[in-house]
Amino acid sequence: MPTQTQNLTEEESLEVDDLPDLLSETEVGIVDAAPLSEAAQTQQILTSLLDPHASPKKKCQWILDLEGTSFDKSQAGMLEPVLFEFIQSQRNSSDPLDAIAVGSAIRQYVAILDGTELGSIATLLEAEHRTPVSLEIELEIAKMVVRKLTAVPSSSANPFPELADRLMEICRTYLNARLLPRTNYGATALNAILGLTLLAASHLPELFEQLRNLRVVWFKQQIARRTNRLLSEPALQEADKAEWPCGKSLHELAASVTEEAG
Amino acid sequence: MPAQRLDQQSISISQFDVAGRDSATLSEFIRHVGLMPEIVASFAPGTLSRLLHMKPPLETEAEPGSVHVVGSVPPTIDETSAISLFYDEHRNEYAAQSASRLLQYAILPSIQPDRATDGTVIRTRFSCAGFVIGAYREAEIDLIDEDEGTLPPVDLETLVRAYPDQESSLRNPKLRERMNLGGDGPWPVVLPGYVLKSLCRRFEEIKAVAYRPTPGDEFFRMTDNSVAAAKTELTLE
Repeated sequence: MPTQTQNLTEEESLEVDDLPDLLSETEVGIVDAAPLSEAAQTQQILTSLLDPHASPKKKCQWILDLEGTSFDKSQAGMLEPVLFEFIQSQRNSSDPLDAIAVGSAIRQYVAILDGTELGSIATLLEAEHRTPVSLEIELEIAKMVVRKLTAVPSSSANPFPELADRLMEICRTYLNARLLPRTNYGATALNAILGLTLLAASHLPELFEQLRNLRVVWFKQQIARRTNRLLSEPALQEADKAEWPCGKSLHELAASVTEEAG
Repeated sequence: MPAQRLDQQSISISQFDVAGRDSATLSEFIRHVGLMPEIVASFAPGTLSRLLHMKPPLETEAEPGSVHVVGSVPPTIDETSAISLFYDEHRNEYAAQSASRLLQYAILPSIQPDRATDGTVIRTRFSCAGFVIGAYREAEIDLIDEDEGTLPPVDLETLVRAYPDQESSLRNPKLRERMNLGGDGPWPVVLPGYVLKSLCRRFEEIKAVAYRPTPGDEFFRMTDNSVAAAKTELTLE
């Protein structure tokens, strides 16, 4: 792959030497590049990612490079399976750098998914025979499920039953006073709860019962705050007005945690 | 004490108190803010500390650095739990030093979600002040009023004087544009000092009303200590 700094003029290259900590040499190249070259750059990354002989390490770097680029619809269509395959193949890696790239791939994958395809992410939450899904991956997926359903709410109840099953498994495991204060557990549980609610999942009666029995006031306050914030999001306000199931579920969740959280 | 410039006395630090660092070249100008990651029973002036901050990347510093001003609400246990959760949610988006720093950082506004074409948030960018403001908002403490027209305009020369090591970037119109600093300014940028000034009020007021910065709040002067102390006495009464 060509380096992005090739777009720098000599004068700009000189400035790079005393660049501040805000912008790296590469980033100056991106900013100063012509719009056309950004599209070409995306295409180059995409072509590289499609190379079956590319090493996982190189793929990790290209996935991180993708964060700085925008892509059109056809490029997004080509990227979707590449990102999914990368997440599946690298999600059990013990290398911290792989984990960072997998997190990035999850965010980009869910971002380009059509709302009707969100169920495909459920597979990535399945624990394998010997390896559990890492907490960081669970958090990233649960968070992106919430972000997707906030931007593109579902008009029907329980549209992705398998995804709901996986999120409920997270809630059953992490919703307790010992785990919630620990790093990443609270954030993962919170997003799994909000995800289930936005899905208007069939598990909601069980979830609300579990929340009623939970004696962690700060966490319930947090659920109430986030739920209220979601209800002020434009797409969800529209969904609420149209009486879609997700709107009703959000109100029920808010009521279930507000009673006790005060 | 709500907020104070460290002088001679040691102070106690609560988890997620706000720490400020001075500009190297402009006296008492707050160049950077972050959060104190842990409780310190007795923090002496001159002590170095790691910060939990938006450098970028969003991180807990590996090497401790200077702390010149500290501000405290102080947060309750419930509020620190909420702030921890906020940090956990965003940290993984910025874990890579190799990930683009430009993508992580925002100047205007101080908190900026990046969205996909359908509106899905992919990541949220922060300035150093924006990260502190966002973390406290998660605990329902709104430190700064960022509504349109409430922030003092900051001109380019002030930004350059304050951040001399970033002068080449700030003077590059394309790089400025990327940070929403279009044209020649001035711009309603949230400067780090505003966050500490917001904590220079009675505790009840900090939690109840967002602060409206005024010109000059980018500095935290030794004389601000006495103002803060008087307000604390009012709080205790």
